[in-house]
Amino acid sequence: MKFSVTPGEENWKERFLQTLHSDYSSCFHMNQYVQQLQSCFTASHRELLSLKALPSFKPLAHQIKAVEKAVFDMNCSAILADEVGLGKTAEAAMIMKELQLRHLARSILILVPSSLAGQWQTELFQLGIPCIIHRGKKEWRNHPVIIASIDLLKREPLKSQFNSLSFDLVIIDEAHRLSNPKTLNYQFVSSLDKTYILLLTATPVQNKPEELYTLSTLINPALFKDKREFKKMVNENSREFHGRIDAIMIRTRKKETDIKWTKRNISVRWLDQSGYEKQLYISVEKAFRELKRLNTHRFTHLTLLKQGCSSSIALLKALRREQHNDICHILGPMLEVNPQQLETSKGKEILKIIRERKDKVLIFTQYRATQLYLQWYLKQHNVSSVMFRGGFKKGKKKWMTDLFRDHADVMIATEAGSEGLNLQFCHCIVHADLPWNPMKLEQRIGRVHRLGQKEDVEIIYLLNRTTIEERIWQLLESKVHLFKTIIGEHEQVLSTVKAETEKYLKDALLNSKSEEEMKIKLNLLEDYLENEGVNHDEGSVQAGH
Amino acid sequence: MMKEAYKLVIEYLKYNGAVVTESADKALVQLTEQLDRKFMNRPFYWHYRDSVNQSGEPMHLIIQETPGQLKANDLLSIHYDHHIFQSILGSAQQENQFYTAYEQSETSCMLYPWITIQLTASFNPPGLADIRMNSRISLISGIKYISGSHTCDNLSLSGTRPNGSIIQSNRLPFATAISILYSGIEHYVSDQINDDETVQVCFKHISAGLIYLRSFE
Repeated sequence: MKFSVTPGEENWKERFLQTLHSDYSSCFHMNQYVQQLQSCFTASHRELLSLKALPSFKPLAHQIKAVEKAVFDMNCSAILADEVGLGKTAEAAMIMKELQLRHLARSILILVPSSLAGQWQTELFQLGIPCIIHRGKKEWRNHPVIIASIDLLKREPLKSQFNSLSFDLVIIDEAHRLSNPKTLNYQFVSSLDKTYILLLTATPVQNKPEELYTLSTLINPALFKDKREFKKMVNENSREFHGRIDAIMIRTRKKETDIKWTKRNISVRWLDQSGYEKQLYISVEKAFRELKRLNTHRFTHLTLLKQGCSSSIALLKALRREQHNDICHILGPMLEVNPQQLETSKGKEILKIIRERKDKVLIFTQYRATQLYLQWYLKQHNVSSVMFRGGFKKGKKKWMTDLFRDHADVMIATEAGSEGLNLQFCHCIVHADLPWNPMKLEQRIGRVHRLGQKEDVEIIYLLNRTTIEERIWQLLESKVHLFKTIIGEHEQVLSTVKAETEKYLKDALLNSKSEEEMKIKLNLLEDYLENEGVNHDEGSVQAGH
Repeated sequence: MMKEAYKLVIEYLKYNGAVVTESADKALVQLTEQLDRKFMNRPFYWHYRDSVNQSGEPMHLIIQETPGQLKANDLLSIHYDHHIFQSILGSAQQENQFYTAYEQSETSCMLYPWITIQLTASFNPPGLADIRMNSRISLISGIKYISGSHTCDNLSLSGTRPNGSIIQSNRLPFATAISILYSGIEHYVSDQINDDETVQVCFKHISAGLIYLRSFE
């Protein structure tokens, strides 16, 4: 049996002897207070000390269960594979705190995508865990808890520096990036000297089941003899296989939790285009017909019409590209415009919504031109707004979010770069245009309708009548099952299917040469999903996940 | 636990000369210069004051028992989660790890020296219940009591020596006594977990003291 003294107290005997031989005047009553506190830190059987030491953090039942399982049954090395939005970060932070309190982890390395480093730091700081983010610009700084990007560390000179370091705990966020053993990412993590490891991913299997095998080798290399055995066991789908996977992976599904998700109130507002907006749109449509007659029409030209539905300025901007010279030639004087003509029916409706609600409103658009236009338009009507787009640096993104929370009532965002954005303080989303990919709608809504949202969320779609938007909406609405499979219940569909679905969906929507072709492709996709979804559901029931 | 931590911090600050005005669950603290220099992380301020040969103004703090949003004009408000609170708590524990105490008596008596050790044994892999131990060894007879019934909690101890008491000097050297007691603790813990070789034991939260009791057995 090995006895040790917790780090920081190793030399207590020497110090005590020094005290005994000196004239040190001690305070007995102060020591009594110290001992009272220390008695509180005595853990009973399977008791989490982190729950006592994080008074301002109220974890959910499934999170406590996951942490207990990881700490007491899995030796603090596990794949945390909860579904999106269930708080994997908080679970990892609790495990980290638990190990710190038990003096089992002093040096901790957290590898995250660089865009999420700030968010991790904030969350850990809220849990009373100080940490630093290493951005690689200066020499390596030592700190008990370090956040860094794997892309920074996997290359020289930091890579060799890391081979000489050892960590008590390594946490890897978005760990599905390690699913290929040939990549530098995997090799780097595998070469790290570590005692405990936590892999965080909502999709441990993205393309092939073997990816799970690769991840399992990081947790317990001896879990499966080799890949062949793993594959064999996958095919057999045996109880033993699930037992082994359960020994390294914790997966909680939304439906298994006690969380009461707030409602989504969806409303669709049909608007009529007017004035210059309508004229321009009709002219572009006419130009298409003309091009079709000349047999030079392409289905991708429909993207222009979509931009026309978003705002006139977005369409005008797109027309400036060289590839659209043929249309510009047909449109001619139509392209001459003054600022007053740019007002759109959607702009007016958005202004109306903002004035009616007197609450925070998040507006999503696909196009930067529309974003700029809306900001300008709202400013003309004394409504100040903040912008948010992917090109912003991390600091600016945070600043914009803070401005939206504390000062502005409106945020106009493009979906690019909105990953990891937490806007639970807002309860209304306006979709100023409709993206091709319905998955993006879910991503947009997910910014607001997520864990921590206390009120029902109002989702407003603004669509232009008698335009391509109406056609797309009808097409998608008639594919209720498709929507349900992709958006409503997508968490039940294997991510493999999801990835494939997205690919086919994109192909159907963007590369079809006619609307008929698009319909046929979507029908086929629907049939495919229907079968796959059912098969998977059966499989997951058998698997007990 | 927060309550105990809060109490300790308040007592520590008082003990070190801070002026503390307490209410139900919070306290207004006027730090001393020493405490300010130690905990408030204002090296530039104190460097400047020292350079111009002026005395500085130690800060006022509000210490809360429970975390919450307390808005106080220009006053720093700290609670258990705050890093300054944690650093005061850490110092309070470290500086008061060792002590001297005496058994109280109304009449003049002979007092015999004992070494006492309190510690928590925790186990790796986690899951087993921690053991908080209280043990002592007589520096006269060498008799030792480990955990269980003979705890110091049953004794009426105080930090001040009773009037008229006579202190007996120790026969057993301090270092020897500590070693004997420590190995006794190790044996005790081994017995508790049935000598399980797969379990690692880590001792933490160690407190130790020299106490004088009326008995040496």
